[in-house]
Amino acid sequence: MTTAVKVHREARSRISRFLRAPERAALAKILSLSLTTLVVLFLLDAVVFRSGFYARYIEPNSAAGDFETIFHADQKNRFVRPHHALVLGDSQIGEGFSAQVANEIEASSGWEFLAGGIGGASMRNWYYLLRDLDPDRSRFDVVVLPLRGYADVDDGEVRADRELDIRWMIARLRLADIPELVASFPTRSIALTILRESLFEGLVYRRDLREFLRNPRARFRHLADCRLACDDSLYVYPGHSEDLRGLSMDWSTRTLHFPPNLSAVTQADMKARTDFQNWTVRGIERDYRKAWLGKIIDRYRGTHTKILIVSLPYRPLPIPLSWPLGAGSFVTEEAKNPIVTIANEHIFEDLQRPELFFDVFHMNRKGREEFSRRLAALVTQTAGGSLQ
Amino acid sequence: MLFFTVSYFVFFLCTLTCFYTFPVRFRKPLLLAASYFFYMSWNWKFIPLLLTLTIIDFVAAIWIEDRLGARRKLALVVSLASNLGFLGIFKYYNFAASNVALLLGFPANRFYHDIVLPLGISFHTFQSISYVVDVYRGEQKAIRKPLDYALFIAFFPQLVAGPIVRARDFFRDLYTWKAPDSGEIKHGTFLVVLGLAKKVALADNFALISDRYFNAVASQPGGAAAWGGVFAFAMQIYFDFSGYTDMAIGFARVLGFHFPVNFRQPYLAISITDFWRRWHISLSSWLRDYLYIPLGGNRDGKLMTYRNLMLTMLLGGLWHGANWNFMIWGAYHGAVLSLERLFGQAKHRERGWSIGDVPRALFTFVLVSVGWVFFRAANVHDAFFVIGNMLRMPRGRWPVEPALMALAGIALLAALWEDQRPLLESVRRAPTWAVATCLGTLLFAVEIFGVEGNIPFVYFQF
Repeated sequence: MTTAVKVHREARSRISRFLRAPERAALAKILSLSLTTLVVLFLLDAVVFRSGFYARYIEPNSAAGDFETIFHADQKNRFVRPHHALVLGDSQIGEGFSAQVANEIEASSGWEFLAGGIGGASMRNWYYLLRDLDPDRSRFDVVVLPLRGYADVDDGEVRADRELDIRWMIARLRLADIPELVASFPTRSIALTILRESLFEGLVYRRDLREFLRNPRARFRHLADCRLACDDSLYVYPGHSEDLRGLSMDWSTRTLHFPPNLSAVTQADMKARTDFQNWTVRGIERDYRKAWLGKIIDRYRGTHTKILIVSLPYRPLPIPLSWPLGAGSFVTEEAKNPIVTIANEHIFEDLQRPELFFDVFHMNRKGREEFSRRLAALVTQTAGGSLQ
Repeated sequence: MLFFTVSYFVFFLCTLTCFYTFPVRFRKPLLLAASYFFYMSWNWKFIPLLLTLTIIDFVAAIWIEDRLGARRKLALVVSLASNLGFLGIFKYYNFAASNVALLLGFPANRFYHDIVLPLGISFHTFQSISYVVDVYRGEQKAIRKPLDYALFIAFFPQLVAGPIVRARDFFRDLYTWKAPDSGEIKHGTFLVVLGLAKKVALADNFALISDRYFNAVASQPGGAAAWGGVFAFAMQIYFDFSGYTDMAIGFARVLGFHFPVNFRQPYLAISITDFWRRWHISLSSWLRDYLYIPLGGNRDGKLMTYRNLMLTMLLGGLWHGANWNFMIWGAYHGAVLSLERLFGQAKHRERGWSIGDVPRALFTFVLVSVGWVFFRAANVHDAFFVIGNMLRMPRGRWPVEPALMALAGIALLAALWEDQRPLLESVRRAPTWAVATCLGTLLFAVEIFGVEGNIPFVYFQF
């Protein structure tokens, strides 16, 4: 004991001598000034951005604005029926699924739907959206997770490294989220950028803030208009009326035949997005799905909520190609999970028709109505446990 | 590693920590190693060039000091020829070759070689030249420790874009080094953050406007567009270069080294003569001491003075870059300086700026801005196109947004205030919490107004 005290005293005295030297004192001053400066910066950032103060004024038609609109819409249209379902997704759900249509179809069944499709939102974003929509894990009877096919196909984009993700969920990010969020980006430089942006949120908001400062009055007006209209328009949005009738593909020569009057830009986009030659299963998409959809599923373990995984109608033409659904694939593994229901992969395949799409990715009004009707029916069946 | 990147700050923090915690005998080697590492992070292939020039000048200075007569002169000539030779080959070969080719009737690229300009060569060669010449003049003792001399040339805060530090200043700090006190630390840290704010929050925003204009001048006719583009560049280059210099001075200061002031509110100048006492002072004083005065300065009558001014400014222009634009820019400044002398208007104020100076300061700013056209335009044709537009009635849209104009206005007010009452003295005396609050607020401005992406410093190309 005495030895321990002696060692401690000796160490303390050495440290004290070490720090008393003018050079070390200078270093200590530099570091303390730098640290205090960073704390001031962090506090300023926290007051303006992390507190949610600025989030009230973000442009509604932006990534973060779209994200927040789901919450505004949800607050306006609280559920009144006994059973609730949430359909998560990106713009394919935003364009392809109408909660209004689903609610009308299921008016008598006691089911009510919330559409959580946000243009550009990723599976990582879905998790944070769901976490804040359902903080008690008790709001939804069914949560629908749409996939573009069940095979974990890598199409060249590494979604786990999508730096832009933070722009959607910035207003929902908490300090405690930072370590896990940063660790979820495999590339170190991107992870460091995310660390910086999640610690100092102004780095993400600054573009929007500059727009705001350019004309604050216009922003306030737009926000007021939007609170009256945008949140409701999300619910009553009918979808696009155009279609791609006339689009076909000769799979033997891989030649696309376009409908008349389709712009050159859209044609080029379609060509690029129907080049499936290099699509393979390399495990990157699988790990990403497991990470973020896995987190969503884990969140509902031990609750009454069921997870329904469906394969979206995601192309205006059926693709006569298939990729292996290996033993370790996301869907195969989750099929064993008692709270997860995997819908038949081909159940919506017949909706992949040019007349039901308005561009290479998105369903039009007719497709939206048809898909919404059928998905609503599928959800109510899921709750009854009658799916194969 | 640009000064405003996270990687540089990590590098600097590591260097700083090691510098202050290592035993004294390891500190100089540490700074030298850090400086070479910093240089290699840009392009390791030029390290041999840097080392070669370092060795030549180190040996030449000792020879000059140890020998008499012709041998001294020979050592000086070898040193000057090496520095100017390398500078000539790397910086001016293609310019000379293309002009010779055109004169001989060949295509301009007939003798062209793909030569990469070594980073900071214009700065470290001038620094070496001033050292060797000072030794030759007997104003500086030759340094006998190669490591010390290598550190003088390669010291990372000033290696790539100055300020051009004189040997006597650097070695005074090196040989009588003492740890910076609290005031010095606040001063240095403040300069680093102020420089960062100037660069990222101001210069880069103005760069977006000036680049948009100067990259397509023909598509944006009209006086308003031209004046707006030129005004944006005038703001960009000032905030960019003075921001860089502030950071360099600040980084050096927290390491216990003192670099000379490089800018003193240049846009408050009341004549071009005054402007050159306020703008890039380390270069203008170098040109004065090692070019203008050796040429004869103002000692040999008016005509010779004008000739010396023209030659000095022409070479000063050429120092910035090997093209006709910089030559014209230099000649323009030489001509205006000569005219100011001719008409007795070569005025300047050492201190204190009053409201009565506004008309002269505005006129000087316009003269400087006309010069910037040649500095920034892609070629001589574009430069004259812009000047033509500046002379027209101001039609078209003013491209600088009100928010940026307001920021420029705030910066101008800060400059006026600084001219009346030295800001940095207040910083040194302020309590640490107050300095930290001020710095945190400045960083918050950087966070909000900073432009995404890394726009390099303008002077890194020189």
